[in-house]
Amino acid sequence: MVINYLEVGIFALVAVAFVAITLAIGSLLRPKNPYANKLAPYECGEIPVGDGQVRFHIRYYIFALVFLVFDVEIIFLYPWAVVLEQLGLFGLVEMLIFLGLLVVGLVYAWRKKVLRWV
Amino acid sequence: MEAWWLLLVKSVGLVLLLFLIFAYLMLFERKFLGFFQLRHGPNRTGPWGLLQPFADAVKLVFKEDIIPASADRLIYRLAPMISLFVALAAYVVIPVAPSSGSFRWGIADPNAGLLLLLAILSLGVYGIALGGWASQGKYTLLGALRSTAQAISYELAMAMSLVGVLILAGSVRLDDIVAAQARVPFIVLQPVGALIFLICIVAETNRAPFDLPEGETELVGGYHTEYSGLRFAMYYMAEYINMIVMASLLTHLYLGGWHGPLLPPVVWFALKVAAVLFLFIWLRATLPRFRYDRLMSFGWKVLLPLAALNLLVTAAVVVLA
Amino acid sequence: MSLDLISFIVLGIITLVSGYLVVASANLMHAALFLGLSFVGVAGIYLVLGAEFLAAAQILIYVGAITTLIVFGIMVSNLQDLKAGGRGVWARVVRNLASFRRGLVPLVAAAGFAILMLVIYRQSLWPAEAPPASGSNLATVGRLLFTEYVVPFEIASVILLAAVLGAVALSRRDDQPPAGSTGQAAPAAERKEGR
Repeated sequence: MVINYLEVGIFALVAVAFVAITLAIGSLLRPKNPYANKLAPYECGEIPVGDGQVRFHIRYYIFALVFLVFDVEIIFLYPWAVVLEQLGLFGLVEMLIFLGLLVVGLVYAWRKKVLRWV
Repeated sequence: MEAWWLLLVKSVGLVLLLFLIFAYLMLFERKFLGFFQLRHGPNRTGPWGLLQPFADAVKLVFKEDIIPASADRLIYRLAPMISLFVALAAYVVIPVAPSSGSFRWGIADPNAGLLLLLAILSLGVYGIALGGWASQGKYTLLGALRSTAQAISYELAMAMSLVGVLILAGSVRLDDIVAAQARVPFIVLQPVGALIFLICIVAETNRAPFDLPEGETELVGGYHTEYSGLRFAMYYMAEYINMIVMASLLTHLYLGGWHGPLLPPVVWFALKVAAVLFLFIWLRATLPRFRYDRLMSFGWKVLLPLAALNLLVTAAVVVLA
Repeated sequence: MSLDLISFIVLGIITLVSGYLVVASANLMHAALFLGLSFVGVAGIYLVLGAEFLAAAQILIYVGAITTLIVFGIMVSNLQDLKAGGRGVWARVVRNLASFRRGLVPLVAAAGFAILMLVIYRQSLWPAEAPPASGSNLATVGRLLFTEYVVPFEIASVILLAAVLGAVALSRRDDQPPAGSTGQAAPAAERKEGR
């Protein structure tokens, strides 16, 4: 079976080789002169305040959680779309139920203001 | 199955071609932005600035590679490579013209072509998220977080909007999808889906008006603030090659791929991709940047329900008619 | 050796080694990355078996969504111990392998599990079918999923709904946020989530 993906493998190797060669050429040509001020994180020329690890709001994480659920759902849509014509009305009703339940989830999240950013 | 040396030649050719298109896409973007704003754009390097990409490349190669002292060195080095590799690898399943005999105008032709493409594209967030995190700066971290949240939000609507095309074509092979559009391109049958898809690919490639991850007026450079030299260039290459990938995908899914009268298929394909890329630049020149809360609510509350509705209407029409 | 076998062995080694590194690396972000690599290795094995849909689903969900979620969790949390072990993964791997508690015990447990699996594998009959040489197995999956296995499919949607409700419940906030909670608030909730 893997013979079907030999092309993908060869292309991936070529892509990796290109990235590596570019970086190797760069490392031969570029100067290297680091000192403490240069290696500090950029904060508009000011001396950095604190460290880079800032604590962020939880909503970023919540969006990722909801994304995960819908991503799983969308995976099911691909095989369904391909065979929909053979399934006919039965297939449509199946997907209506499936999507309907998830829309309930989306509406719930919406009503609970989870999808609101501020 | 083609001979392995032919595959090697094609792979090297495709990578070189993508790099060349990237270089000139960047030049054309600067030129067109100049024209939109009644300026000249780059015009000092060669006639019409045509040597500008090479000047940029030489300059970036000779720049020092700065790794911040507080950075996570392994991930900091790895992240731009992941970005560029994913962008390049996405083109592996996209054909540029119909196969003539046993020769294929593309690299691979797996049965689950579009699915694999989507799977590869979903890895694109890693380059940005890891690069921003590994730099350990406040701007980079914020840019990376914004970018990841934006990318995953619009990925949903994008994946959902193209299911309509799959229903009409009955296949996930890109060749089959293009063949199904021999008479009518799917943009006629799926106008809403095409519009959602277009908006989503602009957002996925972090282009204006969705360029908040690198919004220079508030985040300096976003996730690539700390990067310099070649690694910085790799992020740029990844962004522009992603644009080319997405434009090719839009062409194949909605604009009829290589179908067109008179001209050979490759030319039609190239023309359509170029038109979509011009649209990207035009949007950047015209539209102001979104506000972040509006961007997120637009993706979740407008595009996602609209894509679901479009999908259900398409399915109902196909089944009942 | 056939090409299939070679790629299976290579992918298996990638999966196992990165799986070990997930538990061996002290830096959480590195562990998350190795987890992603391990998932990619599994997807590669699916491809070797000819299960294209499963491979794409594996990458889209496990690498594209779940590992992203973990990376996100690490990014939003301010874990100081991340910095403690930022350098020298390989040195630590060697040290871990040498130590009893962190190297030997997991290895013995893993070896025991492997022997158990081997025994089970040798003693059962696996009703395996050779994968089809060509043809779209996406359509096959679709036909089976939406006719024979339609009830599990619909139950999946109920489970997903429960997951959405769980996510909402985790993040539920009152309509009137307390003052000063706009920027970097809710440390308690984040501490819970950051793990």
